[in-house]
Amino acid sequence: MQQAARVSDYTAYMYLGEMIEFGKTDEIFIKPKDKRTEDYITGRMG
Amino acid sequence: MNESQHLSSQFDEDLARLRTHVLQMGGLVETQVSSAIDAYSTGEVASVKTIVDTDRKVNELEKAIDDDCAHIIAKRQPTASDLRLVLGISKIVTDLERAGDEAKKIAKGVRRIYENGQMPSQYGVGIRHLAEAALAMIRQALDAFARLDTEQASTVIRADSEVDVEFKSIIRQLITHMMEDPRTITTSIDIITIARAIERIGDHAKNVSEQVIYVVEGRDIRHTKEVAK
Repeated sequence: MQQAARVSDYTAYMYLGEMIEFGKTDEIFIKPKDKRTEDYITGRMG
Repeated sequence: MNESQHLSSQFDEDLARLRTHVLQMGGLVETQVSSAIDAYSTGEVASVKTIVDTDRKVNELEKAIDDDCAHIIAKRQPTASDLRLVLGISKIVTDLERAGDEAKKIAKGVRRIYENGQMPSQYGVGIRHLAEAALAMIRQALDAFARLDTEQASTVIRADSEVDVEFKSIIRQLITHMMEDPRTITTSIDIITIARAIERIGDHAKNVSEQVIYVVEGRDIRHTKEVAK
């Protein structure tokens, strides 16, 4: 995940085939909008 | 803020400990400020030493907490709300430490006034009231941090402008005093130093509150007129 954050401009988070959130990598890793994205990237889920 | 548990419970413990330390430090600063204000009213110069001693503890805590923040960033690579919490804490401790320094300044000013055989109450300016307001701001800011309450944080930010207005009015009154009787200049200058320190404590409480809003909502409202939505 660290590598993905480093190399990408945009990030999409998908869970069970569903697109949960898409946005600029900076936004997703600092201020995600969806709680499921938040839980995944902060290591609370997955 | 995300209150659910991490997969690594060790990480949860690290973050919880960090928050506890910040609150512990905040508690010490709050005590410093309130004893400084008491010293102003009662002239108990003895408490100045306690305030200075507490300052050492506050400084140590600031360093320890910053060190913990660096460790968490290095070991856990926090993201999103965890990242904002760690960054926010690192700024909050700076402001708390400076508020502690201001309390020390008040205490030393009080000692100077009483040692010169003066009574600050003779000057009848609203220092006590200003100080109560700043102390309430520090308390509420810490409370807002403890509960991650943005409403409370916004209240503190709004209260800061009232403290600023009151500070200016105290300065005006003291200028009048000094013009009427130049013998009051020495003490008036000491009181101005104290009033300025109190006003700065209010500013630090405001900064802490701005960080609380950043931690919770990810909005950076520093240097803007924007408060809370």
